[in-house]
Amino acid sequence: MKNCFREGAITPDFIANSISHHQVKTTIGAHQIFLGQVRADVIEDKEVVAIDYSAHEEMANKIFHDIREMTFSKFDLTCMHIYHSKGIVKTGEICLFVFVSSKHRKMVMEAIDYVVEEIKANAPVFGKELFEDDSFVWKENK
Amino acid sequence: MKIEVEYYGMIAERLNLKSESLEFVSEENIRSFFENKYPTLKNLSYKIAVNNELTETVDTSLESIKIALLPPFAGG
Repeated sequence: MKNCFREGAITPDFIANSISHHQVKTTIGAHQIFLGQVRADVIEDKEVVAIDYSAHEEMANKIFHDIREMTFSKFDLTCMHIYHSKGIVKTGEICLFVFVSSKHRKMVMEAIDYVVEEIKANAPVFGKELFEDDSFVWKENK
Repeated sequence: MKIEVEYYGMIAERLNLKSESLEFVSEENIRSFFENKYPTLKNLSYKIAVNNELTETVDTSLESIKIALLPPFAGG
């Protein structure tokens, strides 16, 4: 099973490299990228400075694999990648990178929405929102 | 039977425990089993995974059973 987790933030360099790796795949006519970024939410007058992500990694990787299979069966895609952070990701940094590619644009636009919603609902990933004074709250997807 | 249990996120923090081995009697309901052992779980929201599948049914014919208590998801 592929490991979709990356320690810490997903860097713009990593994303740029991933894009350049696809330039040899010339049947692709459209890419769609989703980037999740850590937001500086204000909760009870305190501002979030980072999220500390943890996960049931074995199960999450299996879920990512299942989402991938489902997405390929629903949409006519050339390729697709999911990367999720674990550990500390500061506000303004990227914690989720989803990349789908296909011949045409319509497919990738629908597919990206499906993949992101599935990840949010089904991947056993947990997030501790950290404040400057070392206190925290547990994040929960709505 | 022996079960290997892992606690995640808020559950691990509240119980101050990441994993343990427990003796599970197969007739028991898995959720009540944990809530009797740790009453604080009654006030928390969580899902149960058995061998990486979300379910509350424990197939006691399996050779090894890994249970995970999963608080609300926050990925993405």
